Amino acid sequence: MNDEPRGVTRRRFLQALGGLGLAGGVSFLVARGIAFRPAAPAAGRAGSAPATPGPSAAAAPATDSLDELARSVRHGAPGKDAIPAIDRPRFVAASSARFLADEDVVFGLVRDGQARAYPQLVLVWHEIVNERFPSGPLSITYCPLTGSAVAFRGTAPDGRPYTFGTSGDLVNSNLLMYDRQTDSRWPQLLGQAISGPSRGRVLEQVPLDWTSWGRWRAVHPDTLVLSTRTGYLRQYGNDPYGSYNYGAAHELFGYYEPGQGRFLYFPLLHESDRFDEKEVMVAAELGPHRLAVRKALLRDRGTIQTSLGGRPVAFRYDPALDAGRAYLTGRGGSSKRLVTFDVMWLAWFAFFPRAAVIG
Amino acid sequence: MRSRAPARWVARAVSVALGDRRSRRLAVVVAGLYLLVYLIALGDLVIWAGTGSSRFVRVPSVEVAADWPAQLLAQRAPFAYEPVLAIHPVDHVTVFVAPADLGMGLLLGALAGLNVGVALLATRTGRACGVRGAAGWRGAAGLLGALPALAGGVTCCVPTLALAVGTQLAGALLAVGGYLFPVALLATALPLVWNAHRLARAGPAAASGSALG
Repeated sequence: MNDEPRGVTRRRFLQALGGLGLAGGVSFLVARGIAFRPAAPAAGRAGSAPATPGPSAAAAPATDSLDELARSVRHGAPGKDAIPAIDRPRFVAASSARFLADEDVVFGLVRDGQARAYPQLVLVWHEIVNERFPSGPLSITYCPLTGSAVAFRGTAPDGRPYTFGTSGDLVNSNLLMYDRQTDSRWPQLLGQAISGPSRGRVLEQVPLDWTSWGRWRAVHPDTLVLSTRTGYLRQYGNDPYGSYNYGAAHELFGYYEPGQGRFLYFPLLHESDRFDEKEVMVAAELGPHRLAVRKALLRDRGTIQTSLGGRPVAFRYDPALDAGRAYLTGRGGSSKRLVTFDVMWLAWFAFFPRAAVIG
Repeated sequence: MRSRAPARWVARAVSVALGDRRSRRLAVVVAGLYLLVYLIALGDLVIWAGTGSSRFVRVPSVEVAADWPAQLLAQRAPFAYEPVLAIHPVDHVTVFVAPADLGMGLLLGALAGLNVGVALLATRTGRACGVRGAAGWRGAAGLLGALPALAGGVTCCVPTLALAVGTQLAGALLAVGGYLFPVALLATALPLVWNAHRLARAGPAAASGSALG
């Protein structure tokens, strides 16, 4: 088995400049419909979404059919593995990770007693890390366009563990992975194959925290960090989409920056202007039920008690990591951590327009 | 005696153009500039602000890809290849060396340069021999013909491209990205052949450059 395979003004100026230069040459292609459709209002534009979770969230399917999602696939990169996944990740100790600043974004997880941090500045060039833990393979995935990092594990129909690569395609602006065992297509935010031999199969998600390097290292001083020695030569530190740590004020910049008005690269199936499209939501899943809480609200309130699929769930803000988590609460104060992930509002609504939202 | 073989016309015209100091200089300058822009468009020559490379590697230094023999012909986009070397001469400049990219950039750059060089020669020779024509325009066409390959190179950097030209144009370029290099190759080769043909038709004096005195 082979498993390897500034600011609006400047942007508009660049658009105008580049547009003038290239418009003549390729405009006929646009006219013939070869180009992507613009990110125009699609089938389900909505001004608001359910304010609180309720019975309707459980009764209606949260997302479009797999076929509908498969039909909305768009090219986003030149081809399969054009954005290469990391298959032989190397790690360095926290004390050796001098390439990271405290404010740099990392995705952290603890598995088999080992804390690991995956820097966003590395994953933005690879999007997928196929990992091997003592308990089995795990794929850490990151989609820059939807601001979502999710860890997956799963087993193909023939019993082999899935490993993933980038298909070069997108659904709702979200990374469309392919598995190397069956060549099926999996939108990251759905965690379910929408086409191919594995169609309908669902991956198991593993909790992963979106935090900063300084915070993660303070909580997990013995953590390992994904090295920039990935086997590929890339401009680590130069994010093609913008920055999560821009300038002296460590601000969001470029594509990641809220309040930029409409700034999308690819079309969405459903859109809502209830929040800014780059607003960060903390999303939780429980079986087929999904719920998203606006992260800024959770940060303010500390804890939000709600229900998901008829069961009591508590969203809690972890100030040490600046991360949102969700717990299934039971009698006697017991709680079980649910899988949560951060995601931009644009993508959450595009995939789950009928899911419950607390904002 | 006039040669009818395009390869011979071109070889002769190139030989004469390179023998003429002004044509040679112009061809070299154009080829060099084109190669520079081509490497920037492909992301092989990177100059950036913000976080410098010194946070990640020693500067100056040279990095070699871990499995460089396998990377030599590994594509990251149509007609764009994985780098096998990264040269960090100063903090905010990195040169990624992908031999195939370099070869293609040199080829297109040479064709663009020769187009302009031969066009200059043809224009001057045509005037000297009293031959009317549009050699200069064909030279410009040959230079412009090399431009699609620049757009083909940047299709591997969709976000950057989309910022520069908008989503629709970026999508269009992505859709035709695989054809841009061959199109550029043809669009630079044909005007060169045509100008060489014009020179050959102008007679032995023009084709040898002796009409320039």
